[in-house]
Amino acid sequence: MRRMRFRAMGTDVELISDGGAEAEVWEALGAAEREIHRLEGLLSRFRDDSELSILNRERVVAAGPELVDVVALALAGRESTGGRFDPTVHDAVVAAGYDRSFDLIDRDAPGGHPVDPSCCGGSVRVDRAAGSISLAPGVRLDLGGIAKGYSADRVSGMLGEVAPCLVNIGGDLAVRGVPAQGAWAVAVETTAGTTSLSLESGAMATSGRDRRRWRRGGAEVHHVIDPRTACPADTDLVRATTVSSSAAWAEVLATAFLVVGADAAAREAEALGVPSVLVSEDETVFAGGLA
Amino acid sequence: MTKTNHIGRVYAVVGALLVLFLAWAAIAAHPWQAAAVDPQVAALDAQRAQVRHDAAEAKRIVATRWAAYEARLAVRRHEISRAVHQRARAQRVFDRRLAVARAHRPVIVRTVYGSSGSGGGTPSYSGGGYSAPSGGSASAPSASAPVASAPPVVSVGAAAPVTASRSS
Repeated sequence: MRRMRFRAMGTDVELISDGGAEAEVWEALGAAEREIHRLEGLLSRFRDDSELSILNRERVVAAGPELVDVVALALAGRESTGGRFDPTVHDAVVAAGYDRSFDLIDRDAPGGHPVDPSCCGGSVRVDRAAGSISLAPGVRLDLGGIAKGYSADRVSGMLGEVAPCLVNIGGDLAVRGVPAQGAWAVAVETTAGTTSLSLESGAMATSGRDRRRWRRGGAEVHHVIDPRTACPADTDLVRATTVSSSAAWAEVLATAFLVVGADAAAREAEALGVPSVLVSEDETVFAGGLA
Repeated sequence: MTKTNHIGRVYAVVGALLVLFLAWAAIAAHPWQAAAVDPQVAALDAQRAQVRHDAAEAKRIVATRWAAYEARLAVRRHEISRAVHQRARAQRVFDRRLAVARAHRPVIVRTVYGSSGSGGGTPSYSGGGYSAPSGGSASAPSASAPVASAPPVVSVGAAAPVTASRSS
């Protein structure tokens, strides 16, 4: 197996390829790395010159196909999850203290101003034909997690043309093709340690409140916002891992499950047949067909 | 004593001396020993033989490596040709799929929450109601899928993981 690791999108990126001609695979890995950096340049809210930042400032933008795709996908996620996944949480996550790249956040600072819950859920219009996106006044988008999933899907599609591959962008991962050992074994953290999920096709994403967290006004906060309260989700789940056909959709489901809490998430995972690993502080639940 | 006898003795003495001299010269030449070889010449001869041997060995190695290189080059050229062909074919497939996807995309995807229609409304939350996309499947809506993707196939396994999915 050939691996390439680097930092992008504020997280660790790992590209794994199995088989294929040596020179061609390395060339494809290099192209994949460039593509991820290019997508970061379009979709990051921390870059002033990204299309997303311009959209958040100007409220209307003639967007490229990538931003149109991700915003449309995020809106489909908002509708499908009843608003538990929502890209309009930008102001809420900034109010929580996540106002710059996570590496630069002050991990213990005084509390800020309370945020208005109505800052989430505002109108977003996407016109594919015109290639334009417009935001209602006061609405700003954060595409953090779903942008990683979208990038993993897109780059795995590129790499998969050359050889079986796995693209992992900060836990949002997609596979294309089957490796020599028959499946891609992926470690998922549980209450007791880790378990291994064998992924033959599709994608996986993990959303959690255990890593990107900090303190504001003496209270611990994290980056997963509950759009209903515009505050960090008050949930009994620590992490939710879901499997779907695309990493972007797996990210939508994982975030929605995390926000809704363990019992409801397990019921929904079973009802929808979404393979899931739901980890609370004292229990791990395998749902949606996993056992 | 006659004059003839005297001359005869002289010839005899001279002859004896000549025989003695010839014998001495012959014995001094050590004809029973092999001719002595100059060590420098011997060393040069050995060196010349070694160089000839090394040259022959080097020539053999070069010939072997050249043959191996030409074989690898032929294989590599074949691989490159095949990869170029595969890439061109993949590009054609991708272009075809892209054209089909674009042809079937809705012209406008519009999501507006709130009854006012002005964009300032908030969504209503059903507190647990969860509509699955595309008729109960957990797949992403096809209109929004960035790339064609297969349905997920997953199981809990015991294999050593190649990577990890962690919250980031």
